[in-house]
Amino acid sequence: MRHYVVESARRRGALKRGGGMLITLNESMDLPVSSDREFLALDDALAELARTNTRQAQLVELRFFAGSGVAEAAKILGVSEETARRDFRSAKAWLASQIRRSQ
Amino acid sequence: MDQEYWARLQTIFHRASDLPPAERLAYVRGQCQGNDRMLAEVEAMLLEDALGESLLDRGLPDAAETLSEDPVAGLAPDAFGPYRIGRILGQGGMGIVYLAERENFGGRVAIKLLMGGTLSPSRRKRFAREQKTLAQLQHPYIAQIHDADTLADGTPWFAMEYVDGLRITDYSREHNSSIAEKMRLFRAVCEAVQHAHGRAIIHCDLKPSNILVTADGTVKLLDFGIARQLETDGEPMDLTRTGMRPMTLAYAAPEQIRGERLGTQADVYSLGVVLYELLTGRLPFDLSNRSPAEAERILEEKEPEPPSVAAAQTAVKPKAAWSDLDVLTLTAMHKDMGRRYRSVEALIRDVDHYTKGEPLEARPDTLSYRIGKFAGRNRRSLTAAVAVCVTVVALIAFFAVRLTRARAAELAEATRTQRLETFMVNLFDGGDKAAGPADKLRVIDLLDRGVHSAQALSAEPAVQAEMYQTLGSIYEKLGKFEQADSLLGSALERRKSVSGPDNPEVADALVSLGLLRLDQGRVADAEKLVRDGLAMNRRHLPPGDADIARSESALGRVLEDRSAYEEAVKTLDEAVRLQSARAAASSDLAESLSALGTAHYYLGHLALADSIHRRALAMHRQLYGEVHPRIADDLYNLGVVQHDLGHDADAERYYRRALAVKESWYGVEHPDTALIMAAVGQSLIYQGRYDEAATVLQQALGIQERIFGKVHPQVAMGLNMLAVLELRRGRLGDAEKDFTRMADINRSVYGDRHYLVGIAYLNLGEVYVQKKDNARAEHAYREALSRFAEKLPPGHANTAIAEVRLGHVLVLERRYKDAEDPLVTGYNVLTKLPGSQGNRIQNAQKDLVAVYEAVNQPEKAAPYRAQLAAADHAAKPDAR
Repeated sequence: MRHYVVESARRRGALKRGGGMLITLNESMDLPVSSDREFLALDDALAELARTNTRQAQLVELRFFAGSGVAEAAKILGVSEETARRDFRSAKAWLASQIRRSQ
Repeated sequence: MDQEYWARLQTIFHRASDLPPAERLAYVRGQCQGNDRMLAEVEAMLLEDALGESLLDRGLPDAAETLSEDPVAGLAPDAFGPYRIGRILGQGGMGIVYLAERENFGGRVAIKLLMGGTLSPSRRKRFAREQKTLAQLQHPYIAQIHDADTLADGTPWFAMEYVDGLRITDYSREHNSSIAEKMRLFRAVCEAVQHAHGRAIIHCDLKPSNILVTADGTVKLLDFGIARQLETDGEPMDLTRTGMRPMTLAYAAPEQIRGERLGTQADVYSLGVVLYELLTGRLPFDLSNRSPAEAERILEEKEPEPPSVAAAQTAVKPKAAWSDLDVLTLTAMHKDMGRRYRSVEALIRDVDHYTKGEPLEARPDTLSYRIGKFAGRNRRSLTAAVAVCVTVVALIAFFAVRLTRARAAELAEATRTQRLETFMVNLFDGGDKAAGPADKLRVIDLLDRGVHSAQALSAEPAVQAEMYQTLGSIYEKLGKFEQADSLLGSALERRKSVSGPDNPEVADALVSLGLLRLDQGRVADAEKLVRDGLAMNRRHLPPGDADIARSESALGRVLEDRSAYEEAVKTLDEAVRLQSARAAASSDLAESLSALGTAHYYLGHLALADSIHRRALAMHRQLYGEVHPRIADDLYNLGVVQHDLGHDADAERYYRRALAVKESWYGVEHPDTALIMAAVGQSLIYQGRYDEAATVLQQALGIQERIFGKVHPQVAMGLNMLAVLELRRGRLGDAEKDFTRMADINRSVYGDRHYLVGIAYLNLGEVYVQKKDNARAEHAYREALSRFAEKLPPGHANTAIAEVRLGHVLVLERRYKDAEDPLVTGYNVLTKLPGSQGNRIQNAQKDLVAVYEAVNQPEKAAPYRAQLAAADHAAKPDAR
């Protein structure tokens, strides 16, 4: 899901990424550039987070990309709800700061 | 960033955010002493946390909207025909709604773009057609559909009356509506629904957001029939159990959540829930964040609080005579369809009774009704959640749906159990391992992925079995028999392990596997499996049950395949009887009819076969529209009958229509397409258009061999036609080789005595005649005859043909006495058959003349000679 979203952003930027699953978007869309950059920045930041703390990155993916609620995400990842809440909050804050930095 | 650093960063962040703002800065500075980077990062994090407006805070659907903000932006001005798109009005689960204006006419309309789906070309026409039907739904309380079409990329849209109004629940709240006023509004809604039901259109998705009220208090219902439009057709896979219904669980009837076939009573239920909400200000059950399986359990097990009680708890003031309102509401939304209002009419009647202060017709729910009515019906409850999931796979598979992120979020919403959520996440997170072209998602890859994920469900065998069953049938329909085999086999094993070896679920799996065996050409296995399944169903289900009828139908098809036509007719008549009693038109019934027609065809009852096939065609048209594999099958069957009637040009027309349908549905590399291609080739042969025929037949045979392997009944049929052509063109060596191969295949599949082996001999006979090898020819015809006599009813064309050909060979051998009998017998039958039978009759006449002259009975020769007087064609051998 996440790849899918980012791919569309990269396409707009005419960057190619080899392989990977693509569900193509309607080609005729004209996207505002700023949000493309945001997604790209998010992707990069998320990748970095994943290198540091994989589970936290997965948490963000579940919450943000798959739309999971806190309870679900916690269950899937095998942590308490409280932990999931905290971890998501700090991850979110950090990722947001990374996005802002890249703008 | 290393782990320690990150951990520290987070600790400081969390502590700091717990502190009052005044102390935060000092604390952070203290903690980050000397580390400028850490300080900057923590501060940035705190800032973002406080602002809460980042991309992540917006949530994906919103964020996605910025990515796909305006799907119409890049489109040509006339992409929507005469409508010019204006601003976005809103976005719902199924699509985006725009304000639009009709060119040259002015006037505002709403255009709804159904994102998240593209329709195949064959589906588009049907969509447009259905919308035209919906457009005829005219009622002051129903938002009028004006137009419908698809964009160039297949995205469906439709134009409807623009309604400026509030949701009925919001409207009544803002106007502080009295109960009487609410009932007036509600009655209007019911009238609209009743009107649509009268035209056989079910809404399926009634809820406050689809029920608007304009400023002057007029009710308008939106999206009628749209939910149905988005259902897949039920073919090639039976999706009546797993239809994708983009419904809100809260208003959905239990049978809807279970994925069963819907009737008008589903709308009644939804109306009941809407009424409940109108009266009490809240919903009867809290189904938010529930999976369909959980929702179903809640609906089945829990009783809603009577509105009078619920209303007392909210701000709504209860009135005196609530007990009737309780009965009204609870009867409308009764989970037991037998206790629910049978129709919207009945509901309206009681609304009127209530309004006039008269007693209601509905009775309060007494204890006796509530006790254990549903004891036995747990069979498929678990499958609802899976059904949604599997349906997604199926939908994707068949329509190559292009998913928007909003759709993905919606799907995530719909599948709330842990495992299924993971399944979904995996499904979309293809990563770098996906095979196939980088650009597009291939149907088969997604199916394979579905299987892979299903394999992970080993902890829930019932769920897994369901998925295997469904995926297996998809593979079967795609012609991938090996995968289908392993999946259906696994489904059977799982079902046995879940509930034992003897129950309707296992029976269902047996029958499905049996039908696959039929497709694979393993007829004996097919029969055993289907018979076992049928017997098992009979043991457990009440007579007349749909599954019994379906198994009978399957058995009928198996019997017909092994040429036990009389038995097949008996079984299929029974199946048809049972199924017509359940519904005037259904896909099961149409399927049985097709099989019945085929059986009658083989029995030589051509007129009856024609009329039965027409009936099936009409029913399929009614069910599925114009372009659908079953339509193609019916057309093919009708073509075959026409051929037997001697009308080969008509047969060709039917076959070509059928071919067009199959190709557009399945593509070229598919067994069904090849079969019909071969039929086209055959009809070309009979019309003497040999070159065209050869091309078509080669193509068809190639497809069949690639799909089925070298030994399969369909390959045999393809060989037969090709060899017939070779014979006509005088390529005797090739013809002999191919007919022999055909005989071998049919022999190994059906047994030596099967009539198709007889056909092979009949055709070989022709080859030998042309090779001037009369001894072999005679032997071949006798072999053919002995099989025909055993398997075909007397008076069948093939028997007659074999007889006159045998007679011909004997005449060539000058064994005139021997020749007389077969010639006369065969000739008498031939003359009674419809169609001119080509040159056969003339040839027979010539031979009979020769016979009677040789045995010195010229008076017997005379009538034949007379008939020949007009004709003077050189004898051409005819092969079937």
